[in-house]
Amino acid sequence: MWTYNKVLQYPINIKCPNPRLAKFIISQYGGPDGELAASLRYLSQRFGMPDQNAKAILNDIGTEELAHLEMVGTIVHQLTDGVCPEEIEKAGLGAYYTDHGVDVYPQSAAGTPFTAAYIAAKGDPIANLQEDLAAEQKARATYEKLIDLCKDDPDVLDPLRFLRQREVVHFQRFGEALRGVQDKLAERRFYTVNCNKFMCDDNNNC
Amino acid sequence: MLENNRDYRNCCHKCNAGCMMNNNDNMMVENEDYPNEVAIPAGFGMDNNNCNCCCEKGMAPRVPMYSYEFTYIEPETCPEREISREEMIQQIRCLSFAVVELAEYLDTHVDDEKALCLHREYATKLHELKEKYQMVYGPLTINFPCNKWRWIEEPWPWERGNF
Repeated sequence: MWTYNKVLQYPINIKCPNPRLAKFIISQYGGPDGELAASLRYLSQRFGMPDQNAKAILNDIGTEELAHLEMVGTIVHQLTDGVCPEEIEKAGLGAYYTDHGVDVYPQSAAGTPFTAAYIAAKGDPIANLQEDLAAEQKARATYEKLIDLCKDDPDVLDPLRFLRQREVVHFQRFGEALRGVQDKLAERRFYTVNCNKFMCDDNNNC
Repeated sequence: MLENNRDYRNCCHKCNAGCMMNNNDNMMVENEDYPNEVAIPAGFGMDNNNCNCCCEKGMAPRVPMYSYEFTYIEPETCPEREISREEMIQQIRCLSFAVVELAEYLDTHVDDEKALCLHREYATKLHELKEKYQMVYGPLTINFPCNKWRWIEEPWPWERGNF
C-alpha cells in the first residue's frame, strides 16, 4: 500500500504562467515516455521478477515515479493556472481547453490520451528489464528536449533538470538489477513456478 | 564499494559526509546543454564538509553520487535562530530524497555497509524532523495522530503548500 506525503519531492514555484510550455511538458505526464507510464510499467513488472533485488528496485523506482508524476502535474498546473482562455488558445491549447479546461489530463504533447499500450509486461524478466533501461533513456531524451524548449524560465528548467538526473540514476540501477537477474537465471539449479511448461511433465501432468 | 573492511554499523549519527557511492559506473551523459550540475535550492547545498563519524579524517575522499550533493543542516548549529517552516520542509525534502536514493542504491548493493550507515542516519533524522514539523504545522501523512483534522488545510503541494 501507499501513503501520500504532503510534500513535493523537489520544490516547484513557477512565477510566470506559460501555457505554451505546458503543452509540451504534459507529455511527461501522460505521454509514451512519461511518468505515469514509467510507474505503471515498473509496478506491474515487479510481480514476476525472479530475484529480490529486482523486485525491490522495481517497487521503489515505480514508487518514486509517482512522485515525479506529481511534480510534472504541478509544473503543468502552475504554467496554466489563472491564464485566460484567449492566452490558452494562442498557446495552441484551444482543443485541450475545450475538453479539459485547465485540468491536468494524461496525454502526449500531440494530444493522444494516455494508453496502457505505452507499457509492456512481457512475462520475461530479461525482456522487461531491457524495456525499462530503454524507457529510462527515452525519458532522459524527452527531458533534454523539454530543457531545450524551456531555456527562458529557470523556474521550469530547474525541476526538469532534477527529473532528467533521476532518469540517469534509474538507468544505472536497472542495469545492476539486470546483471543480478542474468546471474540468477544462469544458476545451475533454478526453478521457476510461474510458467506451466516448467511445472508439467511431457504428458501435461503437473 | 568500501575502501576497507571497517565496520560502519556502529557509527555515530553525526556523519555529514556525502554519500560514498562510487560514481564511476554511473553512466552519466556529459553534455554542456544538460549539465549534471543541478541548481539546488538552499538546504540541498553542502554546508558542512566535515565528517565527524566513521570516516577517519583525510581518509577516503568524498565521492559525490553525481555532481550535486545534498545535506541536512543541523538545526543545533544555529540555536539562536528560529528555524522557519520553509527551511524545515526543505530539510525534510533533502532527507527524504537521501533516503529514496540510498534505498534504491541498496536494492542493488545490499552489502554496502557505508550506504546502510548513511541510510540509518538519514532515516532517523527524517523521522525526528517529520515528528517535529507535524506537531507545529500539521500532518504530512494521514498517519499522524491529531486532535483536530488539519489534513485538509490548504495550500497543497501543487499550490505551493509546504513549499
